[in-house]
Amino acid sequence: MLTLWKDFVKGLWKENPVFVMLLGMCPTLAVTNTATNGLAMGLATSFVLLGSGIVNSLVKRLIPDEVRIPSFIVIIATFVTIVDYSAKAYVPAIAESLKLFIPLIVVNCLILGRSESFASKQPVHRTIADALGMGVGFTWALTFLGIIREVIGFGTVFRGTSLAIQVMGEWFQPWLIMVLPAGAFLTLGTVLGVMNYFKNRAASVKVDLQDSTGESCHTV
Amino acid sequence: MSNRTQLTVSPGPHVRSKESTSNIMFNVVLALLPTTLTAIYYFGSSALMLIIACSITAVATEALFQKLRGIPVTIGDFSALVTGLLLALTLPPELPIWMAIVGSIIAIALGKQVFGGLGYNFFNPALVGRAFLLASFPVAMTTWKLIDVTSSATPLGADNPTAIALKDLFLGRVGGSLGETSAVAIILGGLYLLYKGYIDWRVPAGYLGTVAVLTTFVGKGGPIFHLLAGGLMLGAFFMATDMVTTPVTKKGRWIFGIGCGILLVIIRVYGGLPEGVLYSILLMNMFVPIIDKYTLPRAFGEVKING
Amino acid sequence: MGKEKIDIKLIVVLTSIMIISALVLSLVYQATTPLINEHAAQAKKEAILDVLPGAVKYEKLEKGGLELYQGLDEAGSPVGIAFQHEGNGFQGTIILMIGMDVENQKLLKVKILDQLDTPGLGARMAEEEFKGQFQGKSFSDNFVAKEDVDAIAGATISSQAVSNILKDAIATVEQAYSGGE
Repeated sequence: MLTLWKDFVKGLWKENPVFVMLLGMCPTLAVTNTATNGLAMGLATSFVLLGSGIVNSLVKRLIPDEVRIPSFIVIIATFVTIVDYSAKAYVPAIAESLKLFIPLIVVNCLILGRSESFASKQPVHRTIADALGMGVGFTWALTFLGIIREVIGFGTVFRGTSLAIQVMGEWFQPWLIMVLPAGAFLTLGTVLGVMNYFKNRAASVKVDLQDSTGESCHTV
Repeated sequence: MSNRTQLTVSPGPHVRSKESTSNIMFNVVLALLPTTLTAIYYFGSSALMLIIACSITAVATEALFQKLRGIPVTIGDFSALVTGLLLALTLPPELPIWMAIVGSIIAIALGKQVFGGLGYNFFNPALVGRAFLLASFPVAMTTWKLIDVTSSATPLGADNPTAIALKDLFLGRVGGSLGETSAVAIILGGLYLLYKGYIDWRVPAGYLGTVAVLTTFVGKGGPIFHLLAGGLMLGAFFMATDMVTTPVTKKGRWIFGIGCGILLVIIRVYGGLPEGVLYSILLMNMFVPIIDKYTLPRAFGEVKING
Repeated sequence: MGKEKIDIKLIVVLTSIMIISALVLSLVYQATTPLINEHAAQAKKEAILDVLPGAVKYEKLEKGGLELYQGLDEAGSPVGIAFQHEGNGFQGTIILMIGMDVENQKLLKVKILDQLDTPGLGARMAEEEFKGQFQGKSFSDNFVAKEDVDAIAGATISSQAVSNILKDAIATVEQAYSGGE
């Protein structure tokens, strides 16, 4: 049970696909101009991650090594197409705003990456835990970036949905750059910078502690 | 032991110079004074507020970032003040103060400190701040208002540029950003810096010369109008000449200035934007490492590889 | 001998994955296509009725090779025609649904179906403040931004792009009408 929990939580923070592994940068940069888009993209990717992870883990013994990657891609593409059709049929507004980025989930390196490095080696139950963790990690990261960009770029959160909240007051003038592609790079870079700053500080505190107790700091 | 630092052994050359960063930067501030005063004279308290806000924010941001990075705080070298002042001079007088503050923070934080501080930045920090503001608030950044002159658009946006008297352009009685109104004040400051030897005449000469030659043949308004209008004078003397973001060789500086001029004319005459000083300099900033690489003379006796 | 065996296995595995995948997808396709088509048809219907004030239904009309939609009011009399037309915007194609009153030579209403221009600037073309001004605009107007068309602040190019598409659409429809008679 502990292993399963570990498989799950590592995707949330320690091995977060966006903020730590820097995987799936294309959707991360392209569709996080609003919180809704970020959330929807995260959920769509999570579904593909989970579905293809389960299937790939189940069939891993049947597939010869030589055709492993083509097989994985076909399976991933199948799930992406399911998401694409379903989104168009049931949530047309979101499908419209994500447009071609749904089909492009196929080439999201996060998905093939997890299939290759985890699902193809681990049993199904661990794969599910891993896919859920990575999916949640990806989704919160995209939503987080989306919220930052939307608040500064439009002054709202979840605009165009029933949850819409006007965050900024009358005086506020939206920073257009934040919802343009340049804003994606600036936001991601700033968030990564701030995260690394605090991580480094935490790490150096650890080193100091070890130094003061006379332990070697070579391990850090 | 305490005087060990005084016995530094270092390779030559051992030429000593009175010049220091703070000395040069202080002189740049001095050279900007005529332009600053003209701006305050024409636009009044709104200009003064913008200039104060930008300067304080730029210096404070620099101090804060250097504190966070755990390196010595060097705001005494005036370089942050120059950035803040230059940024303020590129802003329209009616811009809300908080936007100017945002621009100054971006200029120092994203334009300078993330690259490692003074000397490591690829782009002129003040121009980075202005580019950010222009992309964020295109309407507020291009709305000009001027006392007692009827024209409401910046001369470059006007439909009939020749209708604006060149004398007004020269003296500064036109709409525009704080520092782009009076050519005479900028030239005064620029000449002072040239005289002191802090800027290289090749950059403004290449820049202005190229614009003059090209606009003789293309675009409307003619060369004198294009030289005096917009932010070209300010850009050519104070921004394109930034020591950190221009090539180090003489030939390289010619290339840099001429490149800026060509880009500016392309943007002004054929582009969708009325003014191109900002992007012409930023784009050429990107080419500086390449220009340096190909124009650095070989050391004596060095053998050309694969020659 | 061994090598041959592996080759056959590769083919069998890949082929079966393909077949299963195709099977699953055709099921999903069958389930979702009617819904997707319905959404598309609904959106088109809404757009057409939206640009033809007073119309409750419409019928398709072929004229000079153009696909036009004739709007009909409750009494069944025509209120105008709707025409879908597209052109280049600032960043991508702008698709418009345009309601026209060809008899009286004026525009009825314009709806932006799709555009990719800058959010907060050009994208504001979809706001009533901008597109509303075309209501009742005469075919013979110049359609020049900042002159007879109020441009969106900071987005003259997008404003002009919409105006150009409208002007072009009017010319196209007028030609179809004159050629058809």
